[in-house]
Amino acid sequence: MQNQGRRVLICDPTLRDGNHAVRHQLTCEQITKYAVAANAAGVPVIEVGHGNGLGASSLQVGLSKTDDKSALEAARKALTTTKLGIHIIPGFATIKKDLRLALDVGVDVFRIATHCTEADITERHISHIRGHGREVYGVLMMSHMASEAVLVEEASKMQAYGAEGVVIMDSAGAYLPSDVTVRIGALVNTLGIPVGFHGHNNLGMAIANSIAAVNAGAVIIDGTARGFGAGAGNTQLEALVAVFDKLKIQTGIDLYKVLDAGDVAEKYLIETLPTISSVSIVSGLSGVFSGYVKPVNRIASEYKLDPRDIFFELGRRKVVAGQEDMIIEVATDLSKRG
Amino acid sequence: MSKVNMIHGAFVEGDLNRVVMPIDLSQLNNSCVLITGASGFMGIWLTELFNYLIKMQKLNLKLVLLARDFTFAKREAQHLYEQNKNINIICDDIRSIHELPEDVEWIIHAAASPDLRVHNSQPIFASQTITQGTLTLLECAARLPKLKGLLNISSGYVYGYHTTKELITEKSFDGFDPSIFSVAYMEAKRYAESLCTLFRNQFRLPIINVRPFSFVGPYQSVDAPWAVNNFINDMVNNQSIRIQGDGTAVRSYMYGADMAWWLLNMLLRGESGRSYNLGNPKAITLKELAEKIMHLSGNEIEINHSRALLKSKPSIFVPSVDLAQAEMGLRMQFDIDEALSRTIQWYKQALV
Repeated sequence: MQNQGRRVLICDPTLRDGNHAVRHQLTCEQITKYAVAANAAGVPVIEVGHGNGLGASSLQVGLSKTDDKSALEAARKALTTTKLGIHIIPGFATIKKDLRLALDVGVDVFRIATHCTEADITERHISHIRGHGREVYGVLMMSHMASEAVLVEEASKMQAYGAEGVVIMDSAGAYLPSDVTVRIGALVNTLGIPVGFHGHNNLGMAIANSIAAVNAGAVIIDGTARGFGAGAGNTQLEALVAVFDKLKIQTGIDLYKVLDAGDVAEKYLIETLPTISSVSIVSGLSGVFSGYVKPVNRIASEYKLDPRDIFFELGRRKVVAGQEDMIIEVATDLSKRG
Repeated sequence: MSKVNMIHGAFVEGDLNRVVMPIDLSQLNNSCVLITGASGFMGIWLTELFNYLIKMQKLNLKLVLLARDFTFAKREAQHLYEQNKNINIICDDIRSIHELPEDVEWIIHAAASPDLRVHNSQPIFASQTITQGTLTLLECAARLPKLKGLLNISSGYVYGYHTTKELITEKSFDGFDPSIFSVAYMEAKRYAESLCTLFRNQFRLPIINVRPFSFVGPYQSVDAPWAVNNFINDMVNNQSIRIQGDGTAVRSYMYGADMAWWLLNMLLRGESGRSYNLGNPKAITLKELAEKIMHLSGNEIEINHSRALLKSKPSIFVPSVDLAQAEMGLRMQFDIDEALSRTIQWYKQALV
């Protein structure tokens, strides 16, 4: 078999990206329950925290029910073999306030994320973590907004800063497999470090895109239980592991136990199972971050507008995660236009 | 002066005792040497060497040290700068200078950051410092009445990326694509060498290019983004040593004291118009390097490959130094084991 012996590292952000789907309201009890299940399944890395990462709890992008320290400590206690990871966006998270906390709590894997054209701002965070001898990866969000050449340049910067791998995120679920093949292929051909892919399912392509990523040379793939995550959800972890099993791609994850972990997530974490709603599809088509779905729906209702119109206008303005303030501006402009 | 700095001074003096050989230094006596980029690893080691020669060989020598910021240098080598009447410090950007002290006879032009992080975060600044900085310096040098020698510190990266096992000689040029953002440093260094060629031709300036490879030793920042620094940093902090990729990348390391001595020889004894490689020709894989550091630590330190999910692309960066050895009879006094051992000792002292 072509894939015999191939291995990928699965990273599971259920307890981080999933927080988007419940307005960042996950509790320590829920975190513990899922962390125990993921650990039992042999998931290599789980990410924990606010949907936008460490230090992001705010009025602008949503207040967390559980503070970062409590969330990380709850997960830390529950994990024996699975590594504890966090997602960090410099700006939300500072070295002194947040990274130090994460280092003290014993976080194993740090994923330093930025908009896909702004890798420069990750230098200090990546270097700081490297200096402490922990695993650190670069993450390029909203990667559909940049050409493969720009992604290569930005990822090269992260490599130069000391990142041990670079993951591109399809934050808006906008990719088709051919888009993934081109971008991952360019990164794999250029970088000397592992390349990863984080999918969203707005256009129903998350699993297919993840397979395309692996076929193009990616060795880190993200997936969440039941696809629990922003917008239409992420690549569904249980399905991903099953598909990789079928393709003879090794993940080191126990299939039955990861199916059990999915059940745990559905029972204890998820309020509404992710579906590809009309608005999510529009989010994917317009290339707007999946995490905008809930606030767009809320503001559309308030302004008596069609949320799809808001999405297409946001897409035209090329908004990125963290610019949620723009939703009201767009809604106001659309209202004036009648 | 702090106790640590006194120890640093004695430590480096011990290293220089080993590398300094009996050569004719009379041309240096009663002269003035300018070092640009004097606050970096290379600049501090050169200052240490000249200071050593002033002290031990009773040379009458004036040093002019130029750099933008001496904070790191003064913290790490306070013994060098405190009340040293032989040293004149100029805090300025190499791109901004208009005139050099007219008694300057020797120049070692080392102003540029070799830090990959700077090349990537501030590529225009990094490139300008090299190209515009070199042009500015050469224009000033052309007006010096007594200039005897100018050593342009280029880079081993001017050869491009090497993937074959052969040592890189002074003729091993490969092309690289200038439209790729990350080659800007190499392009800038190549252009700086071209500028030197033009000034040597048009103004008959006595210029020698040196192409440094990889180094290790005191005065390197422990958080510098190179494998050897990362490994030593991991080791002195009692953390597992982390290797990116599968550890097959090949490097070589020359100790700081050897580097400084070789540079002085190239300045005084090299042939104008020549380019010399500078580094250790003895190759070592990153895996072997990590194992050496682990053994030298004397502790049970784990070595982790960065998940080894990826077979590393061939990466070889090792110079041939046959030319310098043949012309000047240079020999390295510190092999890799001693170089690492001394460096670790230094960092441990600094931590204490």
